[in-house]
Amino acid sequence: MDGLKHLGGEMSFSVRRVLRNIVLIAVALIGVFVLFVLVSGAKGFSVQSDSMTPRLRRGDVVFVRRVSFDDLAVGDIVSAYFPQNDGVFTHRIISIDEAERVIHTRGDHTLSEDPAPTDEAHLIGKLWFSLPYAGYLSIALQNRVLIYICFGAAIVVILARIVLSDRKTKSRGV
Amino acid sequence: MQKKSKTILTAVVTALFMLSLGYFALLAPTTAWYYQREDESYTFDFGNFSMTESLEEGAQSPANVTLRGTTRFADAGETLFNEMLYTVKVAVDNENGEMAGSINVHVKRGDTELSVEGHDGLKWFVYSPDAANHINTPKDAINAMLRRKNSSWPLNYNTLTYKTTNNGETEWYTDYDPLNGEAEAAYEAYNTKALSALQEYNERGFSVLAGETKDVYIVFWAEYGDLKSDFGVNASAADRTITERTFAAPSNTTPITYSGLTIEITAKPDTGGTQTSSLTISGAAASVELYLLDDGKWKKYTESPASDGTISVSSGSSVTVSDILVGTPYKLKLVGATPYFDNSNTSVRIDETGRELTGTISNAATTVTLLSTPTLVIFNESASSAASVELSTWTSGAWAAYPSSGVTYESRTGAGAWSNVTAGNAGELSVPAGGSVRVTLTADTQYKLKIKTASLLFDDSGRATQIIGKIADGSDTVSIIPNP
Repeated sequence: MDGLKHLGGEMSFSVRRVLRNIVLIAVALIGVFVLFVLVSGAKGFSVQSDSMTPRLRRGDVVFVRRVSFDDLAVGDIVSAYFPQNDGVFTHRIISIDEAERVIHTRGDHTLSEDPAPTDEAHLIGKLWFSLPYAGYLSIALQNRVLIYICFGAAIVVILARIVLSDRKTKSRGV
Repeated sequence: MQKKSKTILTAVVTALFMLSLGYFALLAPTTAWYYQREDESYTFDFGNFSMTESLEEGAQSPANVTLRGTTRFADAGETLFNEMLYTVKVAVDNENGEMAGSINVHVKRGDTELSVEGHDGLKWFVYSPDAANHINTPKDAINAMLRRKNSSWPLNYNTLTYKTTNNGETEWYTDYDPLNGEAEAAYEAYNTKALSALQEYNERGFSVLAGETKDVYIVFWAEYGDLKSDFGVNASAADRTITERTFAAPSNTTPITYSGLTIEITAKPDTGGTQTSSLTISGAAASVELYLLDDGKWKKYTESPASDGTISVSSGSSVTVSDILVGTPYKLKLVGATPYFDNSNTSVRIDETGRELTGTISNAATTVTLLSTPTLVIFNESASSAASVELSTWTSGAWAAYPSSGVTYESRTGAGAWSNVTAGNAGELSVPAGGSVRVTLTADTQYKLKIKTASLLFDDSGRATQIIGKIADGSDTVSIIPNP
């Protein structure tokens, strides 16, 4: 019976260990990915609207890399800054005016062309790749109620660990 | 040692975890130009959107529409079309807004959204008066809408019909001959094309720029074609004929009533309203003055490429004026006796002198073509019958067939591209149903046209089988219509 208990305990420990290793590897991979993106100079943006559906959806993350104006082509998806609203939009190029050095853009899911062209100075970069769903964390953190809940939960967890650790120490007679 | 490695590994993974979490949590947002969701926290505004729209007093929802009689859709020759309508006016105010807005109109009967077909003959149409483009009445608006859509020209029949009760007997007044099978066929063919244009027109939004107000009219009528069996006019000819051009219905007219109507108006930002487009003038060498309607006044365009207010076009080349707001009415005036505006373009209007053209800047780049020699354009408004026409010109004191056999003239269907056609017998032109032909003539040429097809007539101050005209200051346009 003790042997079985011991065997059961060993299996439980192995499962925990495997799971832990999986989590560690996943975190490490994500971390390496983030480092890679940072080193490459690419910029990431969290998609907030459905104007580029179905190619890009709300909750996706787009990574853009800086390119020269002359390397742009009609059909490219680019991110640009629009000063009128102090924000960034990511739309598809529908025409390029070489003489004026501006591009005309439009969302795949919008009815009309964007109200104003984008000049070279406001161009951030061309779409390199996108990750679906990865942007929901940043979207969620725009919700202040959610932030307060997470913050409160974190404090509770930390306090609980302190209290439990203290009890453990006392039970050892230290 | 193992414990130390484990500690280091844990620290590295923790750091990577925090880095990843922080990176994805703090990503900058990217959005559309104008994007709004029901939750205000995801609202991004491009300017301050402020539009109010109100139905005129007396127009209620649900509404009852009562009409004195029926009429036909878009009858160019019928002066009484406007008399047979029920109109609801909507005032749209964007005076305090910082961005262009647009309104969409929806009409429902119960829970059913009204399209342009069916619904017991009830039809509706939305328009806004536009003095610059000569749109003052609903009939003007429908004609302009159909020209813009390049549909065939409106038919030229009067089809006003209403019924009355006189001493217990039903009588009807009508200026329509229900026994004219060919006219009926022409109407049906015409309506098939025109209704799709009307549906598209009703679905589009009316753009109202920032700082502007606009009156929009919703117009209802009862379509004769859908209700004729109710009138029994297929059984025999009409009892009475309307001969007057003014409407004076007897007091015992039986009205046509549609009830349970709801008019819904939605307003939204319209980035398309702030869109700019271009106007290109090309073709023959010319000096042209451009005017744009601004705040109700025509203002001469003096920026590049206009020099001292005049745009110079070289022969075979083109000049483009860019960054004109979409929806802006424009006017072009030719300086000098030549050249001539291309009068085959049905989306613009050329005045009687032939020297002034008006139109509206559209989303697609607008092109105005100039011709070095004047032309005679013959439109065939019949949707079903090609027209055989005999053309002759006054030359050396006598009428001579023109063009000569073997010489080409231009022909097209609808608003399609022109193609060259070789004249068979001298002076014989074949105008396709719903199409047009174009013949080049020299200035001051007198011409004579004879229609050879029995079912068709020229629409020229009445109805004629022969007309004589002269190419004077500009090109000429002649229309062929079905013979009622």
